[in-house]
Amino acid sequence: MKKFKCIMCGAINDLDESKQVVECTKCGEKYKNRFYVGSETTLVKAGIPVENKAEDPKTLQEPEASETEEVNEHLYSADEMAASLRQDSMLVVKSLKKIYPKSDRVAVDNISFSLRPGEIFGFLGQNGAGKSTTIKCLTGILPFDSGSITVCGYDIVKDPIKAKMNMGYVPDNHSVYEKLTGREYVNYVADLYKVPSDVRHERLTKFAKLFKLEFAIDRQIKSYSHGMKQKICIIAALIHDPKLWILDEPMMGLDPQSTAEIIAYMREHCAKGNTVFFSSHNLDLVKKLCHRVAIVNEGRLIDLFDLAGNEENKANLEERFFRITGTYDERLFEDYVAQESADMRPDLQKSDALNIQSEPAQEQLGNE
Amino acid sequence: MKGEFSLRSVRTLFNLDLRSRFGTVRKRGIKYRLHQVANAFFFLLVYAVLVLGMYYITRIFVSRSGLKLEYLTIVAVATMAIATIVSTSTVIKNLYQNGDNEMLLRFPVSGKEILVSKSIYCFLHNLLVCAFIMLPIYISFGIVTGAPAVDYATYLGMMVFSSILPYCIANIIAVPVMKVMNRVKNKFIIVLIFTIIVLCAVFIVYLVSLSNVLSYMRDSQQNFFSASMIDRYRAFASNAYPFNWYAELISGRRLGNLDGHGLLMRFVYLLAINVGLGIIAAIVTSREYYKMILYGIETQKASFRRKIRDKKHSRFYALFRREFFLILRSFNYSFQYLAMACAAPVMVFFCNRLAATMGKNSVGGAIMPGLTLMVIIIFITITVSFASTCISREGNCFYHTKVIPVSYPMQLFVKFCLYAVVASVSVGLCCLVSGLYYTSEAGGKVLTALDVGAIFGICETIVISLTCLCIICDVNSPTFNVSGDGELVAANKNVTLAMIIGIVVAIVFGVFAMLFNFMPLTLNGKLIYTPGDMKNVYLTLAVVSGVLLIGSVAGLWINLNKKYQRIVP
Repeated sequence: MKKFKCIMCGAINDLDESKQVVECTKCGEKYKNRFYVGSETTLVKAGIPVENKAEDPKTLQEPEASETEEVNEHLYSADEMAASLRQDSMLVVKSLKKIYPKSDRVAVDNISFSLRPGEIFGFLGQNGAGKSTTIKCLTGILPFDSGSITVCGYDIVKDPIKAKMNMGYVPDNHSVYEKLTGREYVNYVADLYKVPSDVRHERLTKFAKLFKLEFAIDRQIKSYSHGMKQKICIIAALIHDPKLWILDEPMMGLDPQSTAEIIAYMREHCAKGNTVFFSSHNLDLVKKLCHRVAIVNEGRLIDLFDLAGNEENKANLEERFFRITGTYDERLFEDYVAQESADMRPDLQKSDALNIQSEPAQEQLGNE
Repeated sequence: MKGEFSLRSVRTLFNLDLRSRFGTVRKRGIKYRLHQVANAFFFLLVYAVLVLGMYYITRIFVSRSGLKLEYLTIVAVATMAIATIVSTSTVIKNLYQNGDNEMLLRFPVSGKEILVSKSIYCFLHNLLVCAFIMLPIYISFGIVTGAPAVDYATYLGMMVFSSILPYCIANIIAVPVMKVMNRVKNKFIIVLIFTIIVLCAVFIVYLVSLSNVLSYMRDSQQNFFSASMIDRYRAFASNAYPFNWYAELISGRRLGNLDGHGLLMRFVYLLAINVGLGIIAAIVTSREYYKMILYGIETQKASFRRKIRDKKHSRFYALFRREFFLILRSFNYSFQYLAMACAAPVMVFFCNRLAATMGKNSVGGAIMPGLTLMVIIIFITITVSFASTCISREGNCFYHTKVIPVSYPMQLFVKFCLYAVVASVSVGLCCLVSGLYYTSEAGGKVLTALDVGAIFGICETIVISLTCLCIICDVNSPTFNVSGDGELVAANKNVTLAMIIGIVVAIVFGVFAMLFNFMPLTLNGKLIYTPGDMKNVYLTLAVVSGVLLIGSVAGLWINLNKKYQRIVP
């Protein structure tokens, strides 16, 4: 029989797959099973208390048979999902819900997941799916309506300072204090995170060199280009060597070399036992870089699966993304896949032929 | 400036400009409408008071002294000076500094078309300003002099005609002003010192001139309309070319000394001046505009280099320094805050000197403590009101205040300290300057050490209270409406609210202190306030300001975490 681990007390329980609701025998915490057609794929969506989801028709909705087969075989098993929410996680998000004031729409609806030490976690979704809102809740920028967020064991609401001390955040809009110089800004951030003088100097020198910002670090940020601002944000986020590094669409507007440097540093950062969480639209990058990936749609976490060591998941990432986000269309998807592999340049010979053809016409017009 | 010119493009650009300024969507919410109605009502109320004032001044000048032409000349000088200043500012902001220049250049339109479309807006703005300041005076003049209906049409025409000269001058002035502004970019300290000097100089010149006029009238037992003063007005009006020609045209044949031919000649002269200046303005602007906006786009990222050591500081110091640098390195912010704070002692001193000169003659030196208190609180309000944008000014970086590992109360405490410390130093200097002068023989010993000490204590308490109130306003409703360089587009409603609160406090405290220094107050047969003895008055004011302090401090810090967390960028 399959088992699951209770996220509240850690007890290992048997998973009765025929039941819609399962209960921890030790503490009584209830979890809802996530049903798909085909009984062998019945799984526990760990960390979602039954009370919050009971009325939610969407999570009980049974997907199409063909889609189910594609998706379910890659999902976590019950105890794996539950185990991923253990207390020593870098980030634990439980039943996060966010509704913006004066809005009926639920921006983030009951999202739960956790991040392990040493992993790179990708957060995918269409524009407006709730990625940035989730990230803003994680970093303390936005208040949320229910649920909890724990960073390195510290609750972001109850113990915000300690939680934020363990976090580094790179926003999607690269907003920084432009009247300061790059070095002033990084030193300001380092002061707030209490980074000692020698350590910050060493790190700043290293990062400035790594991101090719040495020539501009003593200049006012307002003179920086889009990419340079992004880099200074990244340096400021890393100056205190955070355990959890959160980036909101970090590669946007960066040159290929800088992208490569950031990817390299993400790997280095994780190799030290830290965690990287980033949102992106670049499926190819996520496929190559992330250990795990979560896909959100309309504020809900629809799928969460391994990419590291799972070639099939990697291969299916695009299709899965398109299916989940409701944008799957066989013809479009095939086009997308074709674009990925094919040479998309227009045929120059054809264009030349067109030009040659048009010349006599122009001459004719000129003569007239 | 080369390029094609199409009126159709100009019209499209002009419409685009109007839409970007005023929007196309009409909000229909009842709250929005009420807000609009309240704003309109408030504006009309203030304008009605101004118009009434203009009417009375016109009546005094025209009916009492018969100085019709002289009055119109003075009015022409004053209104055109105001219109020129406003128009220069409009031209600089819209033609040269507007962030849309870069965007517009990407469209398939020429620089000339952009210039013309923006100039139309500037001219219409100038026309509106002239209408607001000139029409009420001309109409008042018509009413007072019993003008026939046709004269009112003349006034309207003259208002339009008068608006051309300030606009032409503004366009000519704007070019060198922009060149100077481009030269002093990033020279913050120099600009700050220069601003303070100019601010103080303008204020001193204004008050000294006013004081001299008042002294002259007092010493020679004159009033505004004595024979000697009337001669001076006449002398001024006869030499104030070409403004007296405008006055003659407005007066017409009915009130002026000129016949039809004379008036026509005046009109021709003025037309020639306007056309001449218009041609110069057109040449200067069209030659410089394209170069200037390109230069602006190229140098908008011009910055300075500053090497600092990577050294650890306390969080308080880091936050304090950042806040200070963001103010110092912005022309707008350093003017609004640092320049005003530095200039306040000079302004207070000269204001007091003038008021003391006037006040002593009418109600005696007893008003001086109250007057000093009121003037200091008013100037400090101007400085402290800057705190009411302390969160709004974070703009796009507001998220930063949420992600850093520093509690919200601590962050606001640092801001509070910066504003309160600067304002406190300013208050200290105001009291020191006033105290040194007015407790001495030269100042007439109108203040005692007790007065100075009590004023200082009360003002410091008010500074802290006002700072807290300003921050409360911004915590409750910040507006992150920032321009491209991250600076607030305009002062928000919190600034207005803070100013109103400060001025009300200043008037209440000042009038209270002035009143009870020469008027006894008895309660149940017991003398509460004895004339000449300010101890009880100060005690009362200290208690009231103490209550204000406790209330504002509590209002700011209680539930601050919750209130701050609710702020969403």
